[in-house]
Amino acid sequence: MDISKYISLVDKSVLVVDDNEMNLKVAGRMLNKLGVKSTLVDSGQAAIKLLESNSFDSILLDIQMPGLDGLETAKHLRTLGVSTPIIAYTAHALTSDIQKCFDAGMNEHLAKPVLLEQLADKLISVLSA
Amino acid sequence: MSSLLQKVSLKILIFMLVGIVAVTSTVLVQWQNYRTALANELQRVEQKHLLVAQNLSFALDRYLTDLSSLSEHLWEMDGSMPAGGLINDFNIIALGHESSGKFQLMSSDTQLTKDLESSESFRAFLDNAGENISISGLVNIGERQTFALAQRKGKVIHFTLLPLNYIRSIQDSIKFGDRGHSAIVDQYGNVLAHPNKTLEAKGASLLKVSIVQKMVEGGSGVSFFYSPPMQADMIAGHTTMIRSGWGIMVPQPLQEIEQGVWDDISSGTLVALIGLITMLSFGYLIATRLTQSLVRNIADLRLISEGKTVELTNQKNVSKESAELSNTLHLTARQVLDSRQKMADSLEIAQANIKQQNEFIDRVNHNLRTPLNAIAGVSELIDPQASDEELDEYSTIIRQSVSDIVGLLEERFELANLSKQEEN
Repeated sequence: MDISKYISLVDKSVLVVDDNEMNLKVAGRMLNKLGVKSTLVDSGQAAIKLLESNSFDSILLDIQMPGLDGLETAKHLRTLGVSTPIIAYTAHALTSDIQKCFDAGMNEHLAKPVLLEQLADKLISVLSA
Repeated sequence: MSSLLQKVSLKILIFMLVGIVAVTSTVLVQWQNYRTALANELQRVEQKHLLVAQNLSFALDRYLTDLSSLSEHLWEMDGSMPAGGLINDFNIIALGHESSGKFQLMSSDTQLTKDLESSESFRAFLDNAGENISISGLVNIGERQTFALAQRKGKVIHFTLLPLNYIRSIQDSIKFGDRGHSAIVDQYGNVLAHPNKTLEAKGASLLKVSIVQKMVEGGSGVSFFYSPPMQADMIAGHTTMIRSGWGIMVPQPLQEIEQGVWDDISSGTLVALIGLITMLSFGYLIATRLTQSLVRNIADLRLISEGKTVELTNQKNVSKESAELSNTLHLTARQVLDSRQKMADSLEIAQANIKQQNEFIDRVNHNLRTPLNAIAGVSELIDPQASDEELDEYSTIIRQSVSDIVGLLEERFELANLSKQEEN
């Protein structure tokens, strides 16, 4: 894979929210490989708290999580006025599931398993919009 | 017609059918009565009146025959027998003979002899007397109305003089209806006995009345005529007596007979009306009874078609077939409702199963994709420059993820086994 295609992503900051530790780590590694600065949290509540005082260029948000799930978290953030582009990062791959994400105020959708190139393309797509 | 019939309920149709049958038969029977009643009654009256007239005639003939026998006997004895006995029994006024204008009575009575001598009608009768016994018509002797029997023997004419009492009592015994009566005239058409006492006292001639002419001519029959004394159209049976030639008639005003017939028809109509009302009432009851279970069944069917439950009501006062129909209907309805409920239950179960399966597939999908994601990510991250620390982490991730997948598969496998055992 030619990383140079994704030079615009270097030094961008992305918040990753996922309750699965391994997925969280893998996502962090993948973002690092693209030159993106990653912040990892394992719950919707943690993400909301972090966003009170920090801002990111984009958010990777898992949908199925204990406590606040991804949909509720996204809705909550949008009601709080957070306009950061949110990419759903989920193992739910049905069309109806994707629509729910958009309805909750998310901007893009990535179905697990996610390849590096797909991740990069989506990030570029939301960051250039 | 068919569209009209469809709008009318069965009950009304049955009622109409019974009504048509009842009304038609009643009207036909009454019409037939009306058409034939007067003619039948007249025929009956004719026979009755004629029979009465003939019976009277026989009675009087018998009386006159007896008188003739008695007279013949007394005449032969001519004065040798004392008065009294049979003479008194028959109320004989005078018994005697005449010869050359001289009257000789068995018991001498000067006044009576004078009266006999001066009576024109008695004279005329004696002049016409033959060798057989002849019977006079009305004979006026002085103030008395009488009749006489006479027989010529050579130059002598024997005679017997009698009152009209017996004849009048017989005439008077016939009274029927309001104005039905009898009347007796002599062979010349003069009144011998009549309910009108003025006519009777005058011994009036009724020759002007058509039926009296027929009687004078002889024979018997039934006639219609106008009666001046009664001032009415009459029907009468009449006959003429063989021995005397007297006429007897038994008349009755036609109007009286018509009235009787009308009374009969009216009471007949009343009975027919009562019968008609009874039939219509029964018709209504039958129609109600025949259709009420049908009506109830239709109402029940409507409820069933709307998906409601219907209780089997115990139907009273219905026919055996109606009750069976109702029972069968309710059994069928119950089966329909049961199978409908079973189908709904099955559908619900099937839908729940499908939903469960979908959820299961969703969950498996999700739970497989999560560890696969980690493995896929790692597969792209591993490169020759990776540090030992990184490689350690990656191998941990892979091991953990594979373990997750295997765990998931085993769990599903056990579940599948369980449900298989349940099925068996």
